[in-house]
Amino acid sequence: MIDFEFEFSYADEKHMALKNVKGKIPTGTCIVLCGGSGCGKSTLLKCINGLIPNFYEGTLKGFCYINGKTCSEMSVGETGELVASVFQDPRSQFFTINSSTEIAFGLENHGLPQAEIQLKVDEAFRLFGLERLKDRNVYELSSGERQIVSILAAWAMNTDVLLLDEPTANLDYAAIEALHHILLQLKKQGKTLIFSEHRLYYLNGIADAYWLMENGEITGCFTPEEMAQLTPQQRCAMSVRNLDLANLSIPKNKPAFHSRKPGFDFEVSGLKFGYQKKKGRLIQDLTFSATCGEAVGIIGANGCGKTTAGKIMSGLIKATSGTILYNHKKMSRKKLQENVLFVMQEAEFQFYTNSVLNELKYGQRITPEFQEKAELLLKKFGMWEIRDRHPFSLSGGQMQKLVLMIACLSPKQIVVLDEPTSGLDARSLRGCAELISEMQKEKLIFIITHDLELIAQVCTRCVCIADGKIEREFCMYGDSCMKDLMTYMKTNFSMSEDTEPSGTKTPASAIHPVTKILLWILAMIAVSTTNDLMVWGVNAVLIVMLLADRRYALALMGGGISAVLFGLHRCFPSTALSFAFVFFPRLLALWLSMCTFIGGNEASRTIAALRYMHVPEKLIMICSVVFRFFPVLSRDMILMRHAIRTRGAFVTLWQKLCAFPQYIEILTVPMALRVIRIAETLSASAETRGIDLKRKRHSYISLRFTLWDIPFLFLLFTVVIISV
Amino acid sequence: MTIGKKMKVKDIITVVLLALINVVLFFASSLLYVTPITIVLMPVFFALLEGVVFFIIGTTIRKPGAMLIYSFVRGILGGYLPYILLFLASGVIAELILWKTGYGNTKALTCSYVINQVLAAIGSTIYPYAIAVKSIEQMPVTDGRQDSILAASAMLQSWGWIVLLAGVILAACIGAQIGKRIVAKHVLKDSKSGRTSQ
Repeated sequence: MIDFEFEFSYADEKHMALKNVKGKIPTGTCIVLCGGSGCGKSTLLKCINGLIPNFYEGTLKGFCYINGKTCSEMSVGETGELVASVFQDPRSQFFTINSSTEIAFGLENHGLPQAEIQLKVDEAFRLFGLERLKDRNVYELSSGERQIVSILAAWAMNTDVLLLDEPTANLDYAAIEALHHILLQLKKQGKTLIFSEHRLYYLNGIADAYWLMENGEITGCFTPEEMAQLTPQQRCAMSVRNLDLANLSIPKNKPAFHSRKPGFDFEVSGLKFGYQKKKGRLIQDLTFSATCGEAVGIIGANGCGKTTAGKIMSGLIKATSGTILYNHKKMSRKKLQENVLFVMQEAEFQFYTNSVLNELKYGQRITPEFQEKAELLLKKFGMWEIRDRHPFSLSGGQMQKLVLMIACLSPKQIVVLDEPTSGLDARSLRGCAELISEMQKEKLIFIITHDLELIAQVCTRCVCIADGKIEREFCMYGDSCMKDLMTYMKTNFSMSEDTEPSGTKTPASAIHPVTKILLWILAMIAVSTTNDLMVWGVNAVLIVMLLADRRYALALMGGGISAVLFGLHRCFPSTALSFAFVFFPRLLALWLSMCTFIGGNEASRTIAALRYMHVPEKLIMICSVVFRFFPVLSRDMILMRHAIRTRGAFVTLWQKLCAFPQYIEILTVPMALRVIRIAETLSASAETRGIDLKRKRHSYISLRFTLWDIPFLFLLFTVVIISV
Repeated sequence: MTIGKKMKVKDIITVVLLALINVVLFFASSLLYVTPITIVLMPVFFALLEGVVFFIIGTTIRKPGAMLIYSFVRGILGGYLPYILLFLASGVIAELILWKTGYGNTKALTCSYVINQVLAAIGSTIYPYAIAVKSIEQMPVTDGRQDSILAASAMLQSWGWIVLLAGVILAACIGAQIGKRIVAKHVLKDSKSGRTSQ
């Protein structure tokens, strides 16, 4: 039983975030907190799991009893032993990079013995039939798979209560179905589930009550039956989304498809593309056409290449073959970038200035007409009052609206929107749909989405990608189209037990991480001296070690670079090459030595080794954060580059040089502000899982020196002796 | 912005992640280490760029220990012992200055940043330049042009290092100004705008 009564206001804010919110939740029930963005749902969850006032500062009045224990004097970690939490974006809440160690993370913090941790992790995967997700790199998993791993991590904490904050915000149709089945199992186990959620249809059969929140108050409690009886108008007024997708229909007032600019055509023909890392072609033979005034929904199962297709159409990725015609003229990649705007799912990567209004003006030719149009748009969509606010201080819904307004004011005729409504409430969804309809008057819109409510409201037709080509098309007018589309999605999109996970399973190294750390220290000593023999010796040992770890590509690269440097220096002695011959082997030694204990699955083993070596926990935490940063980084850098290109900023080297400070600003500021946000989620997630608890920790991973370590330790000492 | 006496988990994670942005800048620019001229200019280049992150950390985490953690992460990922030691020393100096003058004080941050960049320049360029020269001297192959490296080295070891350090100080002052302006434009405005979470 949870019994609570709260009043709360955030520090430096005058208005109350929660006003006399009280409730009693019996054990084993499922409560869904619903209502518009900013109504206080997440704040209430943060009060229950102790993040307020320990993590988010402010003035809290009231009490909270969980199973008879008062939480007011507990730390976040101690409350985490009673209540487990699942956050909105699993990508920024993972503390490790491996699915198994992520589940073990909270158990290690709680001080459980190693054998018990290993049993619990195995049980988590087995009980839910998800063994295929064990020992995977979490950053190579799909969003759905990642969210499932975070739910398993919460389950493993063995608490009676689970809090889930918009767990479907970043999930596709199939992942939501999979999540539904897991939640049913949790309910059968008698867990108390508390959701803060906008998407409600997947909670049919799970939710016992819906609590409506408005302006920091609980204004209504509904049983599932009472909720089902509400009319769409009543639900929309309460900012609550559809309860049953079967009831979805095309709105009668949906704007008809009209082509205002005759001759404005866009044709895609025979596109082919494949990523180097993945086997086979992601896009096989993509062919379709569209005209101005259309809003074409692009749907498909997870990983079918929808976003990749959108990026090819925007000129951000180069297709292997195929043509794209715009007004019957073949378009180069550069021309596509000039004519097509790609609006990515991650809104915050697309903001460069310090206010909403400046963001709309960025890169535009400012004329009185433009200013008038921008003002009208801001007023129409309720953003005029906040025009001077920093884009990073906006809510998710406001950020989505802002990127759509940028698209609306862009002179580009074609816009590709990637998941524009993820995590939006009914009111924001309606606002976005209105904005898209506004854009549709002058532009051609492609919408990559899983959101059936958005498709029903704005799409003129839907194309379904499967096996790298268009498998089916649906005209989105008429009564039966939504039912046909849903039947198609149910049949073709699934995340079954047979589905191969997106991530690769990296085998564990046979060499002890301590041996690798010793080699790294030797590499640091070598590069700090004038002893070239030691540097080359260390490089040779590192390449052999990579071969022993079966990391052939990296070993080959290291060997290749060494051979090229040596060959060039011998054949073409020159000033620059003499320097290169001194500096690059040193850089190579540092890089390879770091790859040996961070790359692949090694980061988790290195952390375990540090714990065995009794390194202070704060230092281990710093190392964990460093190790998890690099896998995330490469993806973020690509997204940033794409965002800069599609906004048409700093296209040429000359532009970058001419406005160097501004270029540095747009490179570093969005990244830094995003990092501050990630740090908040990551530390909240880590604190609820007990990172701050003063317990003796045991590692999930067991480490032993093996016969493999002997030759490497021997080689290491040989290098030292010969060099000295 | 967090103000207080003790670093919390959230503060440590924020500092580490922000410091890694400068590490990425450092790695991304490491190709410029290929020629003697670019090596000499590298500290000036970094002094211009790294101020943004330094000031964001100094302004958002106003607590003892933030600069030391920044210097530890930034230094250790440089992977070069003299560089690591000097970076750690710069972290200790920054902590002392901020402790004396007040955390978040922009003048103290500017002073700390200039010291940080000067020590980094010594660790990353002046000291390794001498190492590189000694290595080249030991090489059996000579092509005549190596004389230019030796001359540059002699220059750095006699009076050139003063010019280099003067350049770094000037660039660090400009870098600090850029950092200060960006913090005022984005970070302080962002925190004034109010919170976004529900």
